[in-house]
Amino acid sequence: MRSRRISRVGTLLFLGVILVLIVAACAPSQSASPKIVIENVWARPTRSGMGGKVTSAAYMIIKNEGNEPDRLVGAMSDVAEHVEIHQSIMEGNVMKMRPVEGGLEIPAKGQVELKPGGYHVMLIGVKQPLKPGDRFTLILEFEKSGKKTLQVEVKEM
Amino acid sequence: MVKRIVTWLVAIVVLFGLLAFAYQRLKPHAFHGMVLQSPKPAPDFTLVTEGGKEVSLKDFRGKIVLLYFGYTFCPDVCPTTMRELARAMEILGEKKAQKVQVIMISVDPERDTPEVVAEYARNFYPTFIGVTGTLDQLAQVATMYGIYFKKNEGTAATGYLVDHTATVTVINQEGYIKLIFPYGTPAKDIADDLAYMLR
Repeated sequence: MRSRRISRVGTLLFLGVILVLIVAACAPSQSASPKIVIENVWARPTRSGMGGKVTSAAYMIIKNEGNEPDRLVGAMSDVAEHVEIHQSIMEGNVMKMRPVEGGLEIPAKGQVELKPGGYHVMLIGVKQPLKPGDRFTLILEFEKSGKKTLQVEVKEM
Repeated sequence: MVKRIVTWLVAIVVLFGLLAFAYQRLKPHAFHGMVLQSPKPAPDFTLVTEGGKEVSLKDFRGKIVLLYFGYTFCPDVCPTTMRELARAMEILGEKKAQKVQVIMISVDPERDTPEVVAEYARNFYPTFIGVTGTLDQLAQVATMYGIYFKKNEGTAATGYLVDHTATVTVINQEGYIKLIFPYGTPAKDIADDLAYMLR
């Protein structure tokens, strides 16, 4: 009788532990979070003969494999005085370039491509010439995922 | 019998080959750019390149002239277009490229001196010319070519930005506007049209 009760308590304990383990295993996929993956990162070479500050632009594909949107809110790099997220907008045949206000949303289970004639990371006041084949570090800051450090390859398109 | 069939087959293949060849040679060229039929020659203008040297459109009669209005601070659209034009020259080859003159007109005279824009343009391809002028002169040339540009306030880091029409104007060897390439026209399409005009 006594031993049976112990075994029953044991069974309940065992089941309880299993339940806790199952919940623990499921938890990460149930709580919403973005998962940022960045691919195809490259930047344009700088040119001699630039009036004002020397500029360049970096391009990439930002994927969000998570189930919650995130937002690219800023960027920085040692190679430039300032880094801003910009968008070239075509209106008729007129091209307008504007800073992206309030961050660039990366939708859940989606992606945003930064490419010539569209979104780009603008490098302003580039301190050294960027030649094809050079590499430099760029840090992107996301609202939820925090900072991501990228290696950018300089190449001609 | 077999020999006769083979002879016929060969004849048919040769005939089709000749027809295909003739079609390729005779079919009208389908331009990739937007074709314009201007009754009047492209308006002449005189702007300045490095060393204070004056550059006029009429200097290039006999060559195809490609005009692009942009500015060197522009990190995205202008270098993309200039690079496509340079690649088009590479596709054409040096000999044909000598019969084409690319002129970049900076609409940002505050930042781009004639020296600056000349060096910038040359950086993309050795024969490219960069010119600019006073704001009044530029406004006049832009109006003549249906080009819009406007200075716009940027951020503290960028200072100001310039909105501008991002098309390329193609003037033929006789001095008439022939084509407009919208932004994003691939180098091979540009080269294809220019090669046809140079035939």
